Amino acid sequence: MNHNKVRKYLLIYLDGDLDDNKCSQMEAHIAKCASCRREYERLQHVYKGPQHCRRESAPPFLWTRVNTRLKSLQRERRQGELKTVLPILQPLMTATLLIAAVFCGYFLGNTPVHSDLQQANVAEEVMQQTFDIDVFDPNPPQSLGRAIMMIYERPDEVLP
Amino acid sequence: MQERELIKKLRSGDEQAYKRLFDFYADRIYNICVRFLNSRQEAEDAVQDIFCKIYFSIDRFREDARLTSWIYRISVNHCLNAQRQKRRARFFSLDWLSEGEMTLKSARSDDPQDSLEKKETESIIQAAINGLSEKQRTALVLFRYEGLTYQEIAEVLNISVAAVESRLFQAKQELCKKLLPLLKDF
Repeated sequence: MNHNKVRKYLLIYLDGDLDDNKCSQMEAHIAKCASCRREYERLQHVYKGPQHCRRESAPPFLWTRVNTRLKSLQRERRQGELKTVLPILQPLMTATLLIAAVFCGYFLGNTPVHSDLQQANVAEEVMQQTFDIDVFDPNPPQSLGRAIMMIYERPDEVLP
Repeated sequence: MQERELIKKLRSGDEQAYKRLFDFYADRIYNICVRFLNSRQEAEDAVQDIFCKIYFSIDRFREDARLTSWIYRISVNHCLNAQRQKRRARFFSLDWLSEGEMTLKSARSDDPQDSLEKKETESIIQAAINGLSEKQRTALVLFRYEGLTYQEIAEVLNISVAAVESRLFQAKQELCKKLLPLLKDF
């Protein structure tokens, strides 16, 4: 193994990821080459395997910040949902009202209207048959109007 | 709590279940975000976005996959998108003219003695990782910083295990090439 190859594989050798054959070649080279050994020692000093790495730990109060952020995001999402629904709902409601108004107009326009005379005849017939009353008689019998009329028309018969 | 039960409760909007999910995944997601975005402030914002995404899209989760893989996938995709947006914004704001490579700012450490060296080595590695292609970087971050197995990375990225191996192999070669010149003065 030459110097370049040894230097290329130094970290892999340090992590113990080289196969046995290459590993023994590396060991042999490092044992006899002073400059490669120096490089190896420097690297070994600086680069330690994963088990030696300092882990960063989360700062205190991070949970409070995460929780606050989450709550505000939930609020924003709810408002956002309303904001997205409103622009759809508004034209929908307007269209519904417009359609209802057109339908009402069409329905009213197509409804047949009875004439006054027809209505009056029907009413007269019903009253006559049911209550024996002539609704078009202005002074029906037993009424005050008929009594007054009798006095005017035939006073000799009515008045003593 | 069983995964299925948790998913069921999440779908019904159970806040306790959501809090449990947060407690379990917050550190992992934050870790990924920091590695991808190189900024703790941006990572915090990203974590919030990711958890909101999880909450609103849990109904779309297909139960033939693992919840962990699904959450990792959402996180990785979110970070990659955020990174692309950031790169685009930086390009149009012409910040790239004045800035060098992005490195992780202000590393936190409880022990001040080892913090300086750790900070330095981490920023060197981070700078080299940032120079990798998107595919290689994603695989390497999940492997190195999240400690995922090849199988898990394959599930997250929806690729075969062989493809993960290949990506990681190339990523490590490329990383080695980038790291060695940076370590000359170390």
